[in-house]
Amino acid sequence: MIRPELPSDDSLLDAYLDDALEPAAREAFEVRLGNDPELARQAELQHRINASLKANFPIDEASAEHVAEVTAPLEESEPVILRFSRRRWAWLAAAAAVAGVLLAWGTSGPRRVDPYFEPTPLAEVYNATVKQGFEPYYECEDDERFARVFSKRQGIPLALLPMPEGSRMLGLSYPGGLSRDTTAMLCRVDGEPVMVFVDQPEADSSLAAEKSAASEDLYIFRDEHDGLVFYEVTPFDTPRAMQYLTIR
Amino acid sequence: MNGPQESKSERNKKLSKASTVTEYAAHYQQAYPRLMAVAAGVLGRREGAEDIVQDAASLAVEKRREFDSPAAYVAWMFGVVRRFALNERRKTHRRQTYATDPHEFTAVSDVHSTPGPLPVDPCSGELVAGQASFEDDLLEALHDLSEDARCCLLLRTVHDLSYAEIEQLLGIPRGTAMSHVHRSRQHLRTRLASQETRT
Repeated sequence: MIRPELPSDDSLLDAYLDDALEPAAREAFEVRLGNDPELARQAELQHRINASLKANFPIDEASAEHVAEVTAPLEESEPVILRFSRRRWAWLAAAAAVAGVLLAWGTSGPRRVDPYFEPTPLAEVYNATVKQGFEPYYECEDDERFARVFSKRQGIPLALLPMPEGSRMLGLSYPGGLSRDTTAMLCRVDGEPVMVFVDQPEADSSLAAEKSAASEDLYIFRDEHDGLVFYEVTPFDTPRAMQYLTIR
Repeated sequence: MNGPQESKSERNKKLSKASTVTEYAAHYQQAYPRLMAVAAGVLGRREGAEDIVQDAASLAVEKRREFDSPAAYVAWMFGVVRRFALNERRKTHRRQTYATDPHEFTAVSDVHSTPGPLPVDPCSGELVAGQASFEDDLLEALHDLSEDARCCLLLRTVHDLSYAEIEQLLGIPRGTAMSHVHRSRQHLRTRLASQETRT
């Protein structure tokens, strides 16, 4: 069954604290805060945590001396040697600071707000993972831990059956997709990258199988069993990895 | 001041070089707070972060010819800072398997549950007041998080970076960064709420 994902209180709280809610949603959440003492307590606690993090990890600026020290070798080892006096370094650092401000101003623009969570087409996640080198976030060779990851994230321990020659599991990643908790298994099959996404059926979305022009050569397979939904995104026209994931 | 014998091309070279150094200095200065956040995030403390950034900057200078722009050069430094900080953390902590899954906080939480020596007021001999304060609890709870989770949390909360920016800096998927921040906040709230209940 495909249902739209409803944000949890935690997700809404995150979005509220990140100033990422639309005005109407923000207003509604503030009304809830007024009526729900537990939620209000969580919000207040998170405000304290954020303030404390800011106090304990203040933003460090580089001193002019430090910048001068770091950039000095750039000067010294070039064919054209420019040796600056301390005063000129101070001027250089001041110029750098101004340039830095201009750079920041030029590239920042209006502040972009992140939504609390948006499902992403899985082919898009696949392409981004391939572009980033197709490296798993978590190399998991221990069966116990492999099962525990799925148990904690999806509520059901999974095991990987032996894969045929030419196929191997590289590890696990948590790249989003259907929900924050989507777990992805990265595999190489005959040298090609293949990803299997696992999540709870409640998180399933019709967006999962959407393809763009950049992903028209990919195949997407869906399966649902043992209370979980499985998607395989692959360059092959048959699933080559998802069938090896089984309940432990 | 340039002498009359200096050729135009030499003068242009000098100008171009000066502009590259200025450009590099600007990029470095802009990136510095975030480089420090990555180092502090991995270490779990501010102490030592500056040395790590300094070491990374020295290495970056040696490798500068491998990059075609100061921006690429500074971007590469984030990876170096992270690696140096991880090495430093490994050196100073006894070997532990840190779970990389943001769900697996419990795997490391026991490590810090045994209290270490508590500071004593040199005058009274009493435990220093406020040691068990909110901030101390928070700093201790931060060590339950994985290195990446701490980095994501600091970059999002203190530096107000978007998840897209965190993805770019740390080279981890945006969804993972979001998950780290979300679960870190959850964990810290749970941990601190239980500490407050106890006190």
